[in-house]
Amino acid sequence: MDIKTETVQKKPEDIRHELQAGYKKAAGNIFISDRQGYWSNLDKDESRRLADISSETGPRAAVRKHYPQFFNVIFSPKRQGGLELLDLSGEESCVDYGCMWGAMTIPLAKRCGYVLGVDQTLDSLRFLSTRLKEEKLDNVDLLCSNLKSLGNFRNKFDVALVNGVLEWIPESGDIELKRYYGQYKPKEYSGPTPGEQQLAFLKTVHRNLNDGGRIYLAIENRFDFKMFLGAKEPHSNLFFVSFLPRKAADWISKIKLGRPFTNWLYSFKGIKKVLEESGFSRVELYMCFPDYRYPERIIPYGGSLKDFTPTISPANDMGRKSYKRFLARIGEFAIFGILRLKFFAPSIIAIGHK
Amino acid sequence: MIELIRNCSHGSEIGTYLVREGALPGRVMKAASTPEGIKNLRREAAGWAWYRKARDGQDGGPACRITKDKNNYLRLEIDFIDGMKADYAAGLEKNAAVIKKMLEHYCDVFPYYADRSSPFHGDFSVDNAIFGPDGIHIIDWEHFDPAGAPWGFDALYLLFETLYFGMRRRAKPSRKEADIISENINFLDAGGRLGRQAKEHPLKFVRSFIAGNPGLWSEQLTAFPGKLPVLAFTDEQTALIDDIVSSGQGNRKI
Ligand SMILES: C[S@@+](CC[C@H](N)C(=O)[O-])C[C@H]1O[C@@H](n2cnc3c(N)ncnc32)[C@H](O)[C@@H]1O
Repeated sequence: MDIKTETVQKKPEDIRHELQAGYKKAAGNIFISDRQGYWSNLDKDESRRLADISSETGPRAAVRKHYPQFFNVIFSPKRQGGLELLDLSGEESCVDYGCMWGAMTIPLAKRCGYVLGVDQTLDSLRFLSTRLKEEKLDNVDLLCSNLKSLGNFRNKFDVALVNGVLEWIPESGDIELKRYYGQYKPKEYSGPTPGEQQLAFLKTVHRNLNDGGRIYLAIENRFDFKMFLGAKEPHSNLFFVSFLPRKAADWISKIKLGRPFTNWLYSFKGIKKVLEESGFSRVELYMCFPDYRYPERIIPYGGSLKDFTPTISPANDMGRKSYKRFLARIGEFAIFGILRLKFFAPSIIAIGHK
Repeated sequence: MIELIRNCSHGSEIGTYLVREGALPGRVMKAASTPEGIKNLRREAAGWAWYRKARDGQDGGPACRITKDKNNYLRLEIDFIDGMKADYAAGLEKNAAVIKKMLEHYCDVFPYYADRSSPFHGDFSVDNAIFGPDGIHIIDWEHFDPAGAPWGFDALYLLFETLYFGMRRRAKPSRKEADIISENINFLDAGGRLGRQAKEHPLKFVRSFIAGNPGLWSEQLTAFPGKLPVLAFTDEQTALIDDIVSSGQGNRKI
């Protein structure tokens, strides 16, 4: 086992105090800033409707009835598979950056003392708030704010979650994914590069952690084997852009989507380097199969792939089998089970220590 | 270092981890944060407690400890058992020796209560037996119930689950497979503990017990209908298999 630095856990009261001092309190436990935004798989009307219906019928019933395609993304107990890596004592004060519908916020809140969920999308937080009620969790506050302009939470948290969020940090403006993902939507970006913005965000995450605090960062691997075998980069829906040099990726994306490629991903070495540059002193890396969202296997990057068996299911969520999935499964076994090429693992979980 | 080795498989809501000490596996850890997962982990802890005592006496053998028990979160750890597993998918013929040992173990360890019941495992499968230097260990007690099934249920389940994997697309068992089953049923019944239905229509008995008591597997049979492969036999196949098996038993008696 790792030797953990003994620290005094941060108190939720300090965080609540900060929230009350710096933000307006909206309904229930939601605090709002003047820096709201929008990012969701649902469009704006749908998001509002989901939050409204959830407060009447409860979130499970609402999603099952109106958006069954998102049921697993939100409720599947598989999603929390990585949290055990943190070996939580139960007392920690945590923050979930980009918490959205709470897929990680809720399981985290059950394992620790307190969670602040932060997201720019108010209706996602309104929905999450109905989930907290359903689960009878009273140790969670929600803050609607842009992650790039957070107030003063210096040294306030023991653990910070950044689950599927770092790659979206360079985006700007409202994003209704249905009208954006893989579609031609010309857009100009000015100011710092995606990498610089991600670094600045991670520095804030670091600053807001208590001494001895930890970041849990989950993200796709820039060199995920599937992207070499004809799968599209999952954030832009373009071929090759993740692993090509950033300039070439920009060029392809500008032609296809009218905007540069900003969803920068990293290799194992790359993510370690960025975390170290942000101030983290020690970084543990894990390989995640078949991805970090629904992990089946999580293996330390320094560990062994000796007993690896394929994790890609031949059928999708709805039980439909496909030829592509079958091939991906064979590819997965060849690359990890036989060749043991860790570098190409699909997703990365990094735990950085302050 | 922690490794996730299985996550909510077969409709369960439990994550299973291997905790290493240096390079060596030290403990298996399981965690859940849903009512369903927590209920099953409590059963697991109760199962280990019972099994440890039944197999090794009060202080021997691998132990299971609950290490976190908050309102909505439960985590437990089980000492790692070093040993070999057989390949459940290889079917009855290849696993005949393994099955014999598992059934002997069953008869040694599972008591026969006055009401003909016995502690219930619920997934008594070749895949859940580890053969170590000190003999067999049965693992994965997530469905444990202290007196949940008629004596012999788990043992018969083992026979038909393994048969299922070996049969693959064949409609009926081979004579050899049927003989293995009937021999083992005769062995199990040596003390006269199997009920009449269990002896005469063993597969039907297993399937109707499951159908009548789905709650023993909590939500899992709904979440993952493939959880118990014996349910995939058709009624006709069931009748046919029971016929072939009991004709084998008859032959043996003559
Ligand atoms: C892909 S979702 C991840 C959701 C969640 N962490 C999970 O694992 O299910 C990204 C979330 O990050 C939020 N987000 C992205 N960039 C943000 C920013 N600059 N400020 C605030 N929230 C942001 C989005 O609103 C969205 O809810």
